[in-house]
Amino acid sequence: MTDSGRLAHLECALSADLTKTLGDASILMVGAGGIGCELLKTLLLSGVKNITVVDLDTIDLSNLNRQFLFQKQHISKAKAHVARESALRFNPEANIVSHHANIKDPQFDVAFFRGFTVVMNALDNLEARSYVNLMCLAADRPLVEAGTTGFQGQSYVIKRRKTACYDCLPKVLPKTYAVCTIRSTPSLPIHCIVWAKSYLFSQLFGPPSESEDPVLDTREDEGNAEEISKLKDESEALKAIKDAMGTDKFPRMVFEKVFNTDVNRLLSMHDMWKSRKPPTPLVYDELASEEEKETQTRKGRSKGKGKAQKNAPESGDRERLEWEQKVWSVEESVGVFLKSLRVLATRYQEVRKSDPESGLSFDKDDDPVMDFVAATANLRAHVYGIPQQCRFNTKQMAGSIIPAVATSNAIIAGVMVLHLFKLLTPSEVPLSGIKRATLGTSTGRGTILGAGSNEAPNPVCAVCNAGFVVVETDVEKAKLKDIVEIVKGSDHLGLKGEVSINHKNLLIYEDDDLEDNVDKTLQEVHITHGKNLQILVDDDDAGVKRTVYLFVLHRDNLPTLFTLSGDKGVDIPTVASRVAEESNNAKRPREEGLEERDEGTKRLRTDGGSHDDPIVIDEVEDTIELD
Amino acid sequence: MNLRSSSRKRVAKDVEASDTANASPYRGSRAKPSQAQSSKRAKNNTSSTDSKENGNGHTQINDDEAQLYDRQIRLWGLDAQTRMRNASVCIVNFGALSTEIIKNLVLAGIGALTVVDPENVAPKDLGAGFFFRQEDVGQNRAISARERILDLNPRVKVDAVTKPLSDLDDDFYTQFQFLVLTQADLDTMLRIDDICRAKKIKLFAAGIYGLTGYAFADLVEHVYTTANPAAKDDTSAPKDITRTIQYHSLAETLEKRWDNTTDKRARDTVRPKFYAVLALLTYQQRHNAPPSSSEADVDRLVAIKDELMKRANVNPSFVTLDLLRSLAATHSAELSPIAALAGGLLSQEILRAIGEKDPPMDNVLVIDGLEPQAGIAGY
Repeated sequence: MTDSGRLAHLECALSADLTKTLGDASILMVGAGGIGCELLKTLLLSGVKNITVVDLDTIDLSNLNRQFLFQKQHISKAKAHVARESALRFNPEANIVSHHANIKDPQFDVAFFRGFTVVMNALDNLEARSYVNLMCLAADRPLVEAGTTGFQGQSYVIKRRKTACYDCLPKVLPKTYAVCTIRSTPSLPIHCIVWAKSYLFSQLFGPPSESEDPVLDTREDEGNAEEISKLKDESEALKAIKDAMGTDKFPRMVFEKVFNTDVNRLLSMHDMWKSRKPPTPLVYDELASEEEKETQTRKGRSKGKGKAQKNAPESGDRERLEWEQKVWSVEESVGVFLKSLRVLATRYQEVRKSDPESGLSFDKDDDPVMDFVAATANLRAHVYGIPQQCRFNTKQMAGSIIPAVATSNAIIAGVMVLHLFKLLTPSEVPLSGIKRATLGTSTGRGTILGAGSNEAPNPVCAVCNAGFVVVETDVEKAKLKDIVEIVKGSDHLGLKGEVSINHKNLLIYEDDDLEDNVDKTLQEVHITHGKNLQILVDDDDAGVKRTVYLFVLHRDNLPTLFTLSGDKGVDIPTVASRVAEESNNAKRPREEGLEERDEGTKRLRTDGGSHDDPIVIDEVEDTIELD
Repeated sequence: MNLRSSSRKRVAKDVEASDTANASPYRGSRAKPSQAQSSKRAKNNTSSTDSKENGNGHTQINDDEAQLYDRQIRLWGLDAQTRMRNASVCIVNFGALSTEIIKNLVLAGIGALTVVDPENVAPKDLGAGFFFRQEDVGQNRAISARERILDLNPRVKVDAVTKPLSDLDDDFYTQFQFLVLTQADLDTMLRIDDICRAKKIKLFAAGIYGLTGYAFADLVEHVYTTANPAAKDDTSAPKDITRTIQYHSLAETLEKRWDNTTDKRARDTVRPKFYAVLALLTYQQRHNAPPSSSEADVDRLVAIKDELMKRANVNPSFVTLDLLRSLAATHSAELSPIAALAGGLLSQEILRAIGEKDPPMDNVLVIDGLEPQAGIAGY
């Protein structure tokens, strides 16, 4: 068919120029999940014809309540490819390219990003957002950023040197917990859940190489040195119990160790409980069912019919659903605890047979693992007089599940396309006219979708207040000293000052101090195609610092050693050294949320966000956070 | 204002019962929706609720559904999901806006959906939504999309009705708990609202016109549960409480005067855009045709707007000439991003009403696609 019919609605409301620009534009969509499915549809129905979709994920059952391009028969298939196929069914003339790949792969280099008119993020994690942000700054392409969580969401436009970039605003790292809170003095359900998942589960079943989970802060200070040393002894004792794994007495031994012996040891530290409610140890013989007790004493156990079944209905039953939604009694938790310990012990021994260095890892969708964590957390909560949680809620907290629904994603994707309309008509709508849209939970009255002004660039942002330069070269021929020449040479960037070069937070060159690598080729220092270098130039005489991001593209058979594009030396912004120091000090937090970044700038990251920046995520499943 | 159907001769067809879809592979797994009455449970004001009561007489959610709907049950809870499972919704006119609403409601897992549309697929419908294919052109819109709606969620029962609204008798509506009118004209909305009020059917009416959209809700009397604010300080207090909203009819809403309002924000910022839409609908009602972008038509539209706003005691300058000009020129455009915005916002309100958890919109939602922003102004 001709486009005249398909475009009728658009042509009625949009100018002929904009309709044509939309048809000619080339859009990179990063992510084909919750926001991505909606965005792909709305783009195609808005006259956009050329779309490239990148997503590394595969389709899961829990996606189907909102990712409408996917159906049951697509489970486990690549999101990017299925999204493309489904979209082509209602718009067969569209030119959609799909990549089942990580956007951070070297194939998606600066040249790739430069091939698009606008980049649109439909991502679910901070790391990838930060990366696409950097690539768009380097390629000088506008980025439409978006995120949703539950009923809330937001979308705004990022344009180099015109608006704040993704990393301009301080962010807070996922919550970490002091080890003593988790191991000795829990006061919230989440403390018990973290203990169950990150301590007890990984101690019993994790691979030997895996030390404690990074959410546990094991730094010692004056007050807790003795306690930490005792906790280390406690862990050693638990390891000894692992030798009994596979025997009938193993579950009872673990139970008595963690809910009785260890609790009694803590109780003996009277000072600890002067201002806290003391814990209550659990007694195995009082709580375990008769069947359980029998199992523990019988040699070569034979599973009794229906034993422990009342505690764990089969998956798929209505009973199972009710069982996951209710708070278990202590006896029920004990039953689930002992049963899951047996199941996991058998599985652990099996995987260790093939690889002695392996173990089990936490997976919220693995029922015995989740049963174990839920029961363990509840028993610990009971010991400490903390409210217990149903398995459904425990799973949400342990698995960092972000609630998600189709409506919020559809609304935010709609806003993203309205942002695109404005980006493509710069003569009519200046960047300041593209507002930061925030979707809030409706309360039946008042504003639901608000438009606020977009932020200006943060003048001390370590990411966007920098120069962005692309070097095309043969990485097997170009040497690190050629990079130094690019920075200092008057034919190139011509920057004055002391140069240090980092790659992924690793210092590989510094004037006068670290020059061992200068004669090595880029390849030899692992700077290959698609990699980038963070270069800090500290001009003491002028009292200014500059940051340059140098993106490396490998090219064979270049007529010259290298060619440069991007910012010229004079375009590279400066920060007064004094201001840079102050900003670093001001941003440096006391305890948590620290992340080392290039020239030592400390950067804060956010997951849940502050009041001003309410939501930045679709679904984050790889971090622990407070509900 | 149903632009597509108002001036055309309609071909009446019989109700397309689900029998016509014997070929559907999903037929066996589809649930029977319960009777419409099941939602009308005993209501008492501000008493504590018992969660067990919520399942009474309803088809229960099973574990498989709980896995499928996991991410949203975490938002609105199992009781609300069970109510959705048992809800029967009718949506009228299959355009860009209803495409979005249908998608959102079916994905969320309502029990049964009936789509009423006498129109055939036109080429421009292919650019308004994703349910239609090239080969559907010339076929009835509701029927050609039916199987594809089922593909989104085979658990939902989907029916297509090809009669125009004017040929359906009042009893037709009693099989539904919720009725959603889209792109309807003012007289139709007033007539249907009267029927729905009399039969205690909850009505939503909505439309999109270029970059502007609106939605109206008349849920008659709506009972919902919400977190008990007292439970924050008093752990012995019930966690949830029950509340009731009495809604105003569309006729009452059109007569609303803002003489002594305490909600100046609603009067001065959100509601005025509703008068722009009302001016458009009133123009259509009086002239039996929508305005063109000619100066004469725009002048008439401005005069209607001034009249409506003065009658309501709202400053007419809150609606700009630019907005009316743009409405006159672009009202027939059903833009996908605006449909996504309006359809998403309205679907969330419909789902909140079905779930009977937290207050739904009361009672006019206005969508401004230019900013973009959206808000609800009360009666």
